[in-house]
Order: sequence, then structure tokens, then C-alpha cells
Amino acid sequence: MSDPVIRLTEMRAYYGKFLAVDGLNLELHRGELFGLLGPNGAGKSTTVKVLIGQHHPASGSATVCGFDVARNWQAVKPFFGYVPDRENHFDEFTGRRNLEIFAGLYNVPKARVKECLQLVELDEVGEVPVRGYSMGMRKKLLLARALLHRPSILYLDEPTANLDIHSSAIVHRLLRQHVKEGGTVLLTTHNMQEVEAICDRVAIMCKGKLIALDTPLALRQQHTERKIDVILKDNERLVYDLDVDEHRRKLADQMRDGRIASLHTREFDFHSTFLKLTGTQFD
Amino acid sequence: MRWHILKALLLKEALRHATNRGGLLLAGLLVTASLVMAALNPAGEKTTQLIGGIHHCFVHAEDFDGPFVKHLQESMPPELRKLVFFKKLDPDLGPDQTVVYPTGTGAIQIRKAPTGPDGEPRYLIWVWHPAGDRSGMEIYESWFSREAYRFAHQQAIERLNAKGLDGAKLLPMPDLNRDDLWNNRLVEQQLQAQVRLQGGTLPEIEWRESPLVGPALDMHAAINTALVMFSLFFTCVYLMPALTCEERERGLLLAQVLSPARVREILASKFFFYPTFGIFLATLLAGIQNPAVLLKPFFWLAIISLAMGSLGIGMSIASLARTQRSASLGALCYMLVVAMVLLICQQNNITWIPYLTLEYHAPQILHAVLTNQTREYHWFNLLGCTVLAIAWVFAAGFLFRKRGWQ
Repeated sequence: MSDPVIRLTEMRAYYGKFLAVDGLNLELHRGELFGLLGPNGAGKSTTVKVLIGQHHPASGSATVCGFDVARNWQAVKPFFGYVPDRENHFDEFTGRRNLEIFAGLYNVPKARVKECLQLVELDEVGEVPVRGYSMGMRKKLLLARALLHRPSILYLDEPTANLDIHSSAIVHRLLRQHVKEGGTVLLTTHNMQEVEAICDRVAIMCKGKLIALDTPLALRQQHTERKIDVILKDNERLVYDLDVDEHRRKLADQMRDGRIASLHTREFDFHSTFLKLTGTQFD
Repeated sequence: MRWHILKALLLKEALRHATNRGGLLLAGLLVTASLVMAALNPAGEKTTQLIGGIHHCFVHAEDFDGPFVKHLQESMPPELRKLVFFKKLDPDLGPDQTVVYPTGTGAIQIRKAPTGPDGEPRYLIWVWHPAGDRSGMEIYESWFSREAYRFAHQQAIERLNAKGLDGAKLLPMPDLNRDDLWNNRLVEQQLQAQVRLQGGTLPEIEWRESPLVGPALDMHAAINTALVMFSLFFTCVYLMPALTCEERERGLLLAQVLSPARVREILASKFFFYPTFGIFLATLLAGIQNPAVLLKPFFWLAIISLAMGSLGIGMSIASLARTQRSASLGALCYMLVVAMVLLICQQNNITWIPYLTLEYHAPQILHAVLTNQTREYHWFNLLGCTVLAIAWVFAAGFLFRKRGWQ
């Protein structure tokens, strides 16, 4: 495996006396789409803030592309694009003008502005002031802005919140394309289906600690329940564990006798898995 | 500093103002007001005074520790107690040296004249009033001449008594309570005559009056000064903090900081744009009223110094305020606090605190240059203004780097 692009080593971060991130160790590699999950206050946003240089870790280190974020922030900045959870555009300017201002800051040609607008399918409304954009359009414009300078790393905070299915698909496609081209994506999300659909690896954080780190598939295998929910014709509800011989036998008998009204296998449920791991409500 | 970044940031500021036209509208209103004033008073002649009366009077005495000044201090009526300030007048003051009194004040100087042939000391009482406001000194002069008479009367009685005469009987006290300056002067002359008749002498008093050099604060010049000052205040202390805080509140400042733009580049763009805008507006307003000021280096130094100071104040507010609303309120509060401090200091004759405010020096130098009345001491005001401006800019830079963009 290649050298990690992002490396967090025993990273601790505080807000006043509150320990927001407690000894986090994490490595992200090139071509990886990484999902960071956790309830509110888990430390996800603080982790991203440390990575973009907006919060200094109390101990440990955060390096991006070999540069220590706290010490070489200026050197780190060109490597990443950031999509915040709260949109931050110049409302009074058009979408195109918004991107042009940042294109000027990144010193990229104006042609790239047009390209980025096309990427997120906002080229038709490029001349409309952002105050006329829907929430979804604003979100897509954030992604276009983050992609302007072709960064190798993308940090995204809830990138598909408020997006319709079609727009979400566009974002997913762009993110997958980005990692396919060798980029790295770190996204924080509450959307479990999104994590399953696009992430290569997932980290689950709770109360500042990392409690699970694996691929979605591995998590599925570890936490899928081999159980079947059965409703009999007399409305009796039963649960059979497929790993118990007696349960398997009873189920077979009831099926043979035609007593079963409906039957459901328990598929992997990321939400339940998350609840089980964190022991907390997910919001 | 990278030019492409500065260019993008400056373009952003300009476009924001072009799109949100509130700032441009107010600038337009200021220019319109200035044009209307120039059209109605093309020669720039003095008009009516802004404030009638003289708010303070200085009693400036060479013989500061003498009995006369002591008598004046003890006989001060309560209503004048906070309005009259006693000061020692330098007896070696040369004819080429000037005593400077603040605008809106007058003075009564008590100078010693050469001793008369009878060996009696002679005094010169010199009343200084603002040009065009002679009547404003009446309340102070009336009190002064009354008490001067009482003092002389008491001395005359003592001298006659010393000669074995009944001074009190020979020199009855006339009615001095009429607010009539001529009456007081008349009875004083009568007293001199009566004392001489009895073979005595009294110190001779010569009364003189002069207008203070420099005009009183007239409406036209005051409004001109206010417009020029307001244009700088508006752009640097109001617009800049409000828009900077709006950028912070909406996360725009963060977005810029996360781009390759350095904090100092963001700061530099703001430090360049707003003072330039303010200087352009202030120069336009000043030029409309008095185009000749544009050729005066003092004017440019004053404007640059003021713009720099306003910028420092504005950026300090922008760094401390978290939201656009609090920035606007902060600018307003700053203005009120400074106005209150200056007023309290003026009312209580606290001289050193106003020197620490830009708003004390600024109107003086602007008023002076706009009315072609620049004097030597205005250079000290300019120096004070520049020192304060530099201090504010340093404070602003420090605050912005510490917490301004977060």
C-alpha cells in the first residue's frame, strides 16, 4: 500500500476543557474514499477542522502529504478542497462569479470555472445570483469550488444533505471519479446508505474515540444478524436464529405445514450496527 | 504578497460594493450634499455660527499667585465655576508668540504694564473673544469687571483708612449688579477719580479687547469638516467591519483563508481597498468645497493619516465583533464613547485624555486646512493623529491575526 496521504497520530483535540478527540490514529491513502461516521459530538468535525488547519491538536500530530498541518499550514492548503456543511457563497454574485473569485485566488484559468460548473450540472444557472439557488444547488456549487484547483484531497461535510436523488448521484459519481484518478476523499455523513454505496473504508467515532474502522463489507459481515422474522397465519410473531438447530427445524416444519403468512430475513443494517457500536442515538 | 491573490481579493471587494449599492448610495448622497452646499455658498464665506455663546473662558494671569487672582477665584458665582479656568500667563511671552485657545472659548488676560509715574503698578486687562462673537464674552466680562471693581474698591478703602480717612464713607459701594459693562467701567473710572481727589492712588487698569485670530466655528466649515470626516469614518469604521463580519458570519472569510490566500494578503487587500475608497470620497468632498486644498501637502498628510487611523479602528472592531450586527453596533458605540469622553473632558478641563483620541485631532486639522487657517500647532495635531493612527493599525493587525478570520 502507498504511503498515507493523511496521517493522524495519537491526535488529541480539546474545546476548552472538553476533550473532543481522544488519541485518534488514522491513515488515509491515495485513491481512497473514506467515510467518517459518528453521532453529534463524536469528534468528526473537530477531526476535519484539525485537518484543514482550523483547530490545533493539543497533542499528537496531523500530517497531510507529508506536511504537518499545524506547522506548514500554508503548504498544506493547496492540497485540499473543502466542502463545509454550511454553504458559504457570496449570495449577491452569480454562481460563475463566485467560482471566478476563487479561481483568481487559486490562480486557475477561467476555463476551469466553466468546466466545474458543467461537472456539477450548474452551467445553465451559472449566470443566476446564488441567492436564487436552491439548497441543493448551493451544495453542488460548493463542490464545484472545492474541485476548482484539482486538489488531491477532498474533505466533505455532509456533501449530499439537501440534494435530490439525481444530484446525489452526480456527487457520488464525482467523488468516485476523484478517487479513481488517484485523489483521496474524506467525508463525514449521517447517510448510512451513502457510506455503504461509495466508501472504501469507514471509521466510526464516538465520544472522541475511534470505535470501528473497516470496509463497509467487512462491517456488514461482522454485524449481519442471521435471523428470520416470521409472522404466522394466526398473527403470532416469531424470530428464528439460523445458527440454532432447533430454530431451523421449527422453521422448516412451519413452512412445510403452510402456517407462515410472511417471512423476512434480517439484512445488514448499518443503522443498527452503528447503534450497537456506539450505544447511542444517532442523529 | 502575490499579485494574483491581491487582484482577486480587491476585485471581490469592488464587486461586492457594486452589487450591494447601499455604500455607493450613501457616498452619492454625501457628494450631493457637498455639491448643494458649494452651489449655495460658492465663495465659501462664513455663515452663521454653529453654536452661539462661548462655552469656556480662560482667565490668564501673569501675577497668578497675587491677591487679585485670589479674589477672582473666591468670588466666582456657582454658575460660572465650571466654565472659567484660571491659568498662569507666561510674563516673558514675546510679541511673536501666540497663545492658543480652543474653538468656542474666550479669554481674559491680566498682564502687567510698566509702572506709572506715581509708582503704582498698571495692569492691562485684555479680553479675547472669538471673531464675530463679541457678545458671547458678556457673561464672563460682566463678572470679571464687577469683581475687579470690588477688589479695587476694597484696596482704595484700605488705603484711605491708612491715611486716617473714613474710606467706607468716602467711597460708598455703587450698584454693581446690573449686567451693564459700561456701568461697571464708568464706576471704576469714578473710583479712580475719587481716590485721586482724596490724594490717594490706585493701580491703573487699561482695558483692551481683540478678536482671536482664526474664525469661530461656522456652520459651513463645520459641515464640510464633518462630511470629510464622515466619509472616512463611514468607509473604514462602518462599511469595512460590517462587510468583514458578514464574511466571517457566512463562512466566507474562512473560505478565503482556506484558499492559498495568506492572512496578511486578505488583510492587505482590505487595508488597501477601504482607505482608498475613503480617501477618494473625502478628497472629492473637500475638493468640491475648496479645490485649492488638493494642492496642499498638509491636506494629503491629514487625509492619509486619518484614513489609516480610521482603518485601524475599523479593523479592530471587525476583529473583535463576531457578527455583522455587532460590528455595526460596535462602530456606533465607539463613536458615542469617544464623543462622550471628549465632551466630559472639555467640560471638566481635562486636557490630556483628548490628545489620545483621533477624533480630537482630526476635526482640528481638517477644519484648519479646509478653511485655509493652518497654524504651526496644527502640525502637532497632525503628528498626534499619525502616531495614534499607526498605533491603531498595529492593534488591528495584531487582533486580526489572532482572531479576526475565525
